[in-house]
Amino acid sequence: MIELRNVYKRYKGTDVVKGVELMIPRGARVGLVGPNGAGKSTLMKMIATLVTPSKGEITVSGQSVTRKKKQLRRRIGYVPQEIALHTSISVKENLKFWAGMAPGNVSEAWILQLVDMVGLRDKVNERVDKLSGGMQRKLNIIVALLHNPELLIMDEPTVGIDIPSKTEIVAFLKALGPDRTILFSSHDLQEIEMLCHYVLVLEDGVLRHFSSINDLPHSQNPTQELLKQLQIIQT
Amino acid sequence: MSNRWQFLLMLLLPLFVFWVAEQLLSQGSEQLKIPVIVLKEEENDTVNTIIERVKENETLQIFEKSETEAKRLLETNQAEAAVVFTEGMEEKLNQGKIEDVIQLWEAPNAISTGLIEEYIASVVIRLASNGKAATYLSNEFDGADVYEYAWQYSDDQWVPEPLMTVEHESASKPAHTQKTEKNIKPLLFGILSIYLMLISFYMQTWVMTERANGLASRTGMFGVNQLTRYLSNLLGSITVVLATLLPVSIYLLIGEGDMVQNGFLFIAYAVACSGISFFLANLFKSTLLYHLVAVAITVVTGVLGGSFFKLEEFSDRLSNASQYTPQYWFLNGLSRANTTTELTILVGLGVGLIILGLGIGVMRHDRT
Repeated sequence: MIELRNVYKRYKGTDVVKGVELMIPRGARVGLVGPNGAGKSTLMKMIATLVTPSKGEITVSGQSVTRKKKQLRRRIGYVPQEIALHTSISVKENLKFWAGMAPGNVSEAWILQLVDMVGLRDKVNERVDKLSGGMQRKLNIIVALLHNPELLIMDEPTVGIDIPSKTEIVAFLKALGPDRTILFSSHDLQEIEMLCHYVLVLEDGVLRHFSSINDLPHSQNPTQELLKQLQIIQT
Repeated sequence: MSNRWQFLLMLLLPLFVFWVAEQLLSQGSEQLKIPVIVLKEEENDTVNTIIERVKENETLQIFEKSETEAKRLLETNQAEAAVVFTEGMEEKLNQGKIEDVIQLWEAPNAISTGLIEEYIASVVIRLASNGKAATYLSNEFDGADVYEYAWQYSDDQWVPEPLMTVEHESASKPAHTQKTEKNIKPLLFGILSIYLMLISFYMQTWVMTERANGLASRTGMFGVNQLTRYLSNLLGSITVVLATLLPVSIYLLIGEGDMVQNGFLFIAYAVACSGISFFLANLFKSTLLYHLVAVAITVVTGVLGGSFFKLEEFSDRLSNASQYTPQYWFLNGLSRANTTTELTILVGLGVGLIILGLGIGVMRHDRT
């Protein structure tokens, strides 16, 4: 479903992504790990059509991300690292605003389903800045799902929240079904192991490892063990 | 705008601020007098009469102080000037001599000593002429009564005073009141120009916050064209700036020439300010730096452009520099019958910088 061929991104004279070759099947949940500055966010933004690769090609369902961006964006949901919401208005007003902007028709039933799935039903009339960090993160995710995209790209969507909220978000993402491809970056390796089918390790812009979670070293903390073998210090 | 009370406050607060400023300024300008110190090296009727006459002038505030105190007040600019009535003054005046009878010391920042000098001189010349005439007649007729009669007769000839007409005397009071009102409006428009520029800078912070909080990426992902987003947000922010200052602008513009023309000038100035702030918001990455530059630009252009006082009158160099500020064109335009030049410059500046800002913004969008 997602294919990267010799992808580079140069920024201010430095390559932040270097020659990444990758193939991600439809419905796969892929966890991106790596130290800060490894190029995870840039790689995700390139797949999400937000940043243009300097070299190489990226295709999503056979369509190049540098051409026909508008059509491709209908099929991609992107969750930025920040709480990209209008925080001075209510949950309901945010959902209404973003549903109005979303490509295609967004049904009210789908919005309600998403709200129920993340447990925000009784918070819909509250201002976003009055919600807990976990609740804000959940809203941040469901806004990206309003147009029901087949690919969901999430840049550290659970950063800074408590463990129960993280667990709930992982459960919610799993409940979205087997057909939705998810790209998920996180510094929490256990979270990756709970959610993902694949692990992708990036360091200094280079793809160091990509495999099924089942192929990781046998250990109580397999991803941690893999990073140790690769001599990568996760920050 | 989620809170309607907040919106109402946003509209009414500037109106209240300007109303208070107007009240304070009108009160201040009514009480405004030039502080002048008098120093007496001799004590006699002539000196006291001069001081009494000088005190009648409504623009001067006369204090009698010692030499040391006078010097202290002058050095600290708490007084504009000190008038020293030198020893032997009465005698000289009676002889009709008017040279070297008075010394004038001025403060380092004094700007109105010419006016003080003229006024004191007029009073002294008047009394010197009276004395000279009275002494002459007294000598001619050899009688003490003649001196007083002649002095008074001579003094009466000064009413109305030379170079000052009866019309001036009768128009003095109402003219004073009218002058006070006329003096406040430029100050209020000056404050308005600063206020509007600061609000414009504040309103354009969305460029930086949306870049930082992911809203720009999210909007892009929802298929909204980057240029469309920029222009719609920009238009929205200009509308909010204009709406915020609409009540206060109407309040200030009433009775100030052509309302429609001045209204357009006001809009053009808002466009210019928004252009400057939009360009800088796109140029800078750091919000802190943007805020620091915003305040610096507002103060510098405000001072140069005449928001506080007409700096252009000080020198040709400053006069030339002031023409590079939007405040100059806005404030100058308000007093002109034809504002085509001002409108063209302000709108041109605003639109030009908006285009530049858009260019930078779109280029920056494709960076990590």
